[in-house]
Amino acid sequence: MMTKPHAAPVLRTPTAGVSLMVIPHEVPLVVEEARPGQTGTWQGPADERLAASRIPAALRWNPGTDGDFGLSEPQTVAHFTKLSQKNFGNDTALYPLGSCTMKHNPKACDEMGTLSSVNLVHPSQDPRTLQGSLEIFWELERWLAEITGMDAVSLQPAAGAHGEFLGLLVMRAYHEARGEGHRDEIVLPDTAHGTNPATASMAGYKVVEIPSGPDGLVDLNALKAAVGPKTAGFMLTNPNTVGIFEKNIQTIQKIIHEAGGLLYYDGANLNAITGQARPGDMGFDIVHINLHKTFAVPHGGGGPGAGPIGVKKRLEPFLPVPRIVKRTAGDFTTEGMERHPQSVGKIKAGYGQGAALVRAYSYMCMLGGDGITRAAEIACLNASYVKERLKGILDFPHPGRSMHEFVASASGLKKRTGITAGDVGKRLLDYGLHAPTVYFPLLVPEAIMFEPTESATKDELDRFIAAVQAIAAEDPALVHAAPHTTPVKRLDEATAAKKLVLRWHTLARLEA
Amino acid sequence: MTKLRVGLLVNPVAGLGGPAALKGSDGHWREALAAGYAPTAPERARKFVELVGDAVEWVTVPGAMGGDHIRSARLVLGDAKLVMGDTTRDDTVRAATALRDAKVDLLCFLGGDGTATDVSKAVGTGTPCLGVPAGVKITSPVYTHDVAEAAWLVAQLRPGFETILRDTTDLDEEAYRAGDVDITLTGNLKVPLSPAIQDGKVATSHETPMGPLVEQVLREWDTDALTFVGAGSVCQAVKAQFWGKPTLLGVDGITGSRIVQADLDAHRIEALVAEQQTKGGAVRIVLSTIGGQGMLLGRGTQMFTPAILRKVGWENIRVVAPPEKLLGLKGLHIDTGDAELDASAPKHIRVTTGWNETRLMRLLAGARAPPDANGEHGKTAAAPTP
Repeated sequence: MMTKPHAAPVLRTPTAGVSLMVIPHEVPLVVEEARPGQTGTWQGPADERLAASRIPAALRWNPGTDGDFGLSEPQTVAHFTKLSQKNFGNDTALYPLGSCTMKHNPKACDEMGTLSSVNLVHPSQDPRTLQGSLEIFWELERWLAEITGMDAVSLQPAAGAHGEFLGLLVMRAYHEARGEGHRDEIVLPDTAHGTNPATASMAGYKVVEIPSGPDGLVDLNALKAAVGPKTAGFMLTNPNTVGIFEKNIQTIQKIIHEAGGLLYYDGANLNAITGQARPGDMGFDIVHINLHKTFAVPHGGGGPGAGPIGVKKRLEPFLPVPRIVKRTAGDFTTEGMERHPQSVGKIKAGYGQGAALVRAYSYMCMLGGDGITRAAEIACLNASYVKERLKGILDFPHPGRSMHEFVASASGLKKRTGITAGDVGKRLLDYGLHAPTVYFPLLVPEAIMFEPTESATKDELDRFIAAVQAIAAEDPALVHAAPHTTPVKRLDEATAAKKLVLRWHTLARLEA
Repeated sequence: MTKLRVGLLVNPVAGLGGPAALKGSDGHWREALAAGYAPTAPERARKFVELVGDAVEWVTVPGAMGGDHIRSARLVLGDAKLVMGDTTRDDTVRAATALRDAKVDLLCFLGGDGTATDVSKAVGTGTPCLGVPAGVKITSPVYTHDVAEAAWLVAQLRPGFETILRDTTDLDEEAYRAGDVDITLTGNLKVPLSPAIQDGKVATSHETPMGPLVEQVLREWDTDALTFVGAGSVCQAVKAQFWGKPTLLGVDGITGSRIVQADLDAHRIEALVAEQQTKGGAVRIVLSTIGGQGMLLGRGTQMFTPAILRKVGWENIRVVAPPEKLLGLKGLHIDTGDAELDASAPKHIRVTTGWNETRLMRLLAGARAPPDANGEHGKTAAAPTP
């Protein structure tokens, strides 16, 4: 009735000394493993009278009928343990998902985030009882301001896109305060992260997208043609989405500022430049920082993340409340709308995603200024190493040096062997490696975007490179049919997310 | 250095049906002549020959299909009477065969999809060919975007240039006139390998949600203006928001909330523009682009003549296209047939792509060198084979 076991993977060891992991086989459904009469441990109270007195009849467990899976306890434990191993996370192996900065999340930082002194306080407590938390947040604001070259920071946003949204609300409030509320256009390059146009639209702006030049950089002529009296701002990442540093950033900031707009820095790629260069020095007015990328807060799976924003002095009055204020050493308080009447108000309850903020704070404490600088260097070095080693297998559409990530194209590979970017991604799963980002950005055909981060050791990078080399040399038919080791193979990507099959009843119905 | 031997073949009535709103010229060009429209293909041919100049060795057929447009060329089929108004599709096949037999290195033909189909019948995939656009609608990916680009490409070619096999396609014009878009594969031609040659048309998917895009267009609509909305499914979705019967493959004029004039030809558009401008009213044009090709003006839009476009002004042209139509395009192409007008176009144009969404696209015209695969202008041509 149910799914059949998948064909055993045919994997070769491509390079001597490099071992490739094979993911264990599929886990049958509980209903497939179950046999009548196999029962688990009896969970009910031994004393029937006790049960009768304490537990309502409707909730009582009836042996032989309720919860009789047909599985013993060890079978049940094994089932769920195996299921948990089906997960692939940052703690499993290299996760080079381009644009996502899937760096290692140090366990010590997780430990700090789960301390009771962090978790058992409430943002509505009197600030006099929150001095430790406020001190951490206040210091974190200062550090983030220092790293990004901004004058003031708000920790409130709970995610990167949330930060973008706040940034644009601040931008809007700024223009309105100057009597320029008619500025209703946000300009973006065509390589912008999808959240940029979405956020602009959510914030009530119209989006004007401009084409990138053949070098992957902002086309200055197009930018000049796009800006005008309606321009509220320009959103940009630097290094940009294809991993290249926007060397014309000074000209860009001049064009935007002369048009009366503000320059917004999407911090998605901040990991490439921490300690090396600062958005504030490049002329950016607003920046959001993905703490869950650059500062090692765990992410994926829905958060919680944290996306603080930093702004230049002239935008500080519009930051959300409560603002954290240091009165004297060790004495912190908060200020609301009465002291900050131009504030955009609140964008999240409390001060932000408290535990995530503490994780980032402890990560920064662990690394220190030098460590943060070094992390960016290694992130760029790792990406450059992989890029160099993959030359000859993949194409590189943009000349010049990339930074912490790079965009390759499988166009040539596809022409030679029929193996597509999607095939490479799927086949890597059989090698126990997470797929890189594929088919993004859209302007590169057969795009494959790698971001190994500074967390990967050279051995891990070599293993990854060896896997890509092996895939390029494999029988294309085998690669087209990959993955071979996952419970399901190629999903209908258009409907998989819309028609979720999460219960065996649904599956049984679909297969009937 | 050996000169490239280039054959010239002109379909003299190609393009005639365009301004007359006849959606093509096959079997209908006499109506266009009767309505007072002049042929444009001869002028395009003269311009093409002039731009290429003496760098090549010309071979052509006599009369309106070649010889009339060139000062010195070797003639083949010398005794044929190929007079404007009397040529047929069989003549195209005959002329192309003769040029093939004259062993030209490249056969350049001026026309549209019908001409490309006839040439393909004659020469098959033996002789390399190049389409120089002069027809009403050009879906076949064997044409350059405009005449200047074709001349530029020919000037770059050296004997032994690299070629690629492309399809010729045609629309069933009778079905097309009835509003049915049915593109058929009609043959193959070998063409120079160059980014100057346009891609095939990519149809808009029936699943593309047009609602938000149309809403945005209406939001910016000037109800006091006289607005001409062009042809195609995207424009049709816009026109369907107004009272009256919209024309899928023609230009309709809208004022207020009503389609006041449907399926307009150039003469009627010109008169309406003059009337509106005399009253001091605004005139706008709403156009979409051909998906995959990026042609904005010059393919099925010939009813917007250079004179009309001048009167309306570039600033009053609105472009509407769902993002999928723009995928992979380096810019939008214009080929009005008036080099001066094309050169006066802005370098970029805004395209409304959805609710609150606009994309700035490069506007590419023949006066500028064509872009290479990376969108860079004037750097590459068909690579000569060593």
